[in-house]
Amino acid sequence: MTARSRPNALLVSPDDDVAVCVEEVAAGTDAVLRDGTRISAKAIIPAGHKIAVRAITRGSPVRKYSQPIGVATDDIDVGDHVHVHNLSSDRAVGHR
Amino acid sequence: MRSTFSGFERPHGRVGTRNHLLVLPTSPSANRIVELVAEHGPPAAYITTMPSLGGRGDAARALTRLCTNPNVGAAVLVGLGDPEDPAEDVAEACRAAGVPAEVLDLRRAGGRPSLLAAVHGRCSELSERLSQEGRRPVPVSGLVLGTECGGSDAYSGLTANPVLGRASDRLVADGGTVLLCELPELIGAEHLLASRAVDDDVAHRALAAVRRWEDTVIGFGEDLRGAQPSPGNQAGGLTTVEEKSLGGMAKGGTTPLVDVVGFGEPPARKGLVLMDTPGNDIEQLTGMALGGANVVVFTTGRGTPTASPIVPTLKISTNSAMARRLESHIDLDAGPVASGEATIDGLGDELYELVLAVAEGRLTAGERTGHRDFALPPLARWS
Repeated sequence: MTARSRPNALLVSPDDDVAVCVEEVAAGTDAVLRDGTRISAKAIIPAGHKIAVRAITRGSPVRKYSQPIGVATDDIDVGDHVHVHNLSSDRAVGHR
Repeated sequence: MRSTFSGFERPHGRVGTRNHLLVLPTSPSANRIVELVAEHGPPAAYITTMPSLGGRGDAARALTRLCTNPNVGAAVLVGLGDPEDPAEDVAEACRAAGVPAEVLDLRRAGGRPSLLAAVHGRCSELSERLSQEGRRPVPVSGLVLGTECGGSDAYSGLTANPVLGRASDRLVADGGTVLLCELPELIGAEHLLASRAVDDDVAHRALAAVRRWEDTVIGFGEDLRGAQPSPGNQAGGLTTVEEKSLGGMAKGGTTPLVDVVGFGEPPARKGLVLMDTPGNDIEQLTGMALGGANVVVFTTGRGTPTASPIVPTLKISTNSAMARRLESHIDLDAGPVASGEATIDGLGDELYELVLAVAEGRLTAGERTGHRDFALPPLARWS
C-alpha cells in the first residue's frame, strides 16, 4: 500500500509543538507536513484539530505560532491528539 | 527590500496611495445628497453613511482626520448650514494642513436642487484636476498598513492571518508601519503581545487598553475571557483563548510592538502599532482610515465585501472554496497554504508585492465593486 504523500497537516511556525490537521486523520495513519515529515496519529484527529509533533511533558507550555497557547495537563506523545483533554489555558499568566 | 514606490507626496513626509476627492456629508441629512451625486457624478470617494454627530466636541477632529488621510487630495463637505455643523471648522483645519477643502450647504445654496447642482459641479471640476496630478517616487516607509480580519473561520489563524503577518513583517523591515486593531479579540493573549513591546511603557499601555475592553464588556454581562473559545470554536479545533487570540494577532506579524494609539489616532512611530478599536468590521476600518492608513489588508473566511472609500482594502480569503464562490470580492487566496501547495512565507511575500502594486495604483476588488463602508462607533474612546 502506498503511503500518502499529499500534505494534510499544517505547521504554522517551525518550532511549534503541534500541527493542525486540515482534514481528518484516522488513527494509525500519517499526518503529513509540507516538508514531508510524517507523524503517525495515535488517535483519530478531527479536521481542524491539533496533533503533537514532539513530546511534551505535563506542566510544560505547548507552542503554536512560536508562542505558548497553554499548558500540557498530561504527558503528550508524538502523534497524540492535543485538545481540551490534555491542554489547558494558562490564564494565571497575564494582568489578572 | 524596497525603498520607494510611485505615490503622492503629502505634507510632513506622509505619502498617499490614492489622490481621492473626498465628498463628505457632515450630518445624516446630507447623506442623501451625496448619494444622489454619487449616482451620476464623477469618480470620487463618496461617503453616504455619516451618523449623527450630536454636537460632540470631537466631531470636527474626527472629520478633519478623515479629510487629511494621505489618500485624500481634496475634500468637499456637504452640510446643512446649521450653527452646530462642524463643516466650516473642518474645512479650515484641512486648509491649514495643506488639503484643499470647501463647504457647500443647503442654506447658502438655496435648497436641495441648487445644492445638488452645486456639489455635482464642484466635484466634477475637482475630480478632473486631481486625476491629472501625477505620482512620483515616495518612501515605502511612508506606508501605513491597516490589518483586519472579519467573517473569520477555522482557517483564519492558519492561512490568511499568518500570510498577512509575513507581509506585515516585510513592510516593517522596509521601514513602514502596521496597525493591529480589534482589542476585544486580543483578550487572552494580550500578555504575549505586551511581552514583545519595545519598553515597559508600551507594554503597560497595551495591557491597560485590552483590560479596559474586558471591563467594559463585563459591565454588559459578558465574560469574553471565560467564554472563549466558544463551543463551536472548540468543536472546530480551537482549545484555548490564547490560541484563538494568537490566530488573530498573527496578522500583525512578529516584530516588536512600538506604540499604542487611540481610535483614529495617527501613529507617531514607525513599526507595529496597536490601535484601540472595537471589533466591528466597519468601525475598525474607519478607525484605521482616520488614523492615516493608506492601504489595508483584510482577511476573511466567510467572505466579507467590506471596503473603505478612501483606503484601498485588499481582501484575502482563508480558504479556496470561498475564493472561487466570491471571486469578484477577493484579491488573493491563502487557501493553498492549507493544501500544502504554498508556504506561509511564500504567499506572504506575494501579498507584500501585491500591497506595493496596489499602493502604486492597481485597483482592489473592493474598488472595482465600489464599496464605500464607513461607520463611527458610539463607544469609542477618542484621543
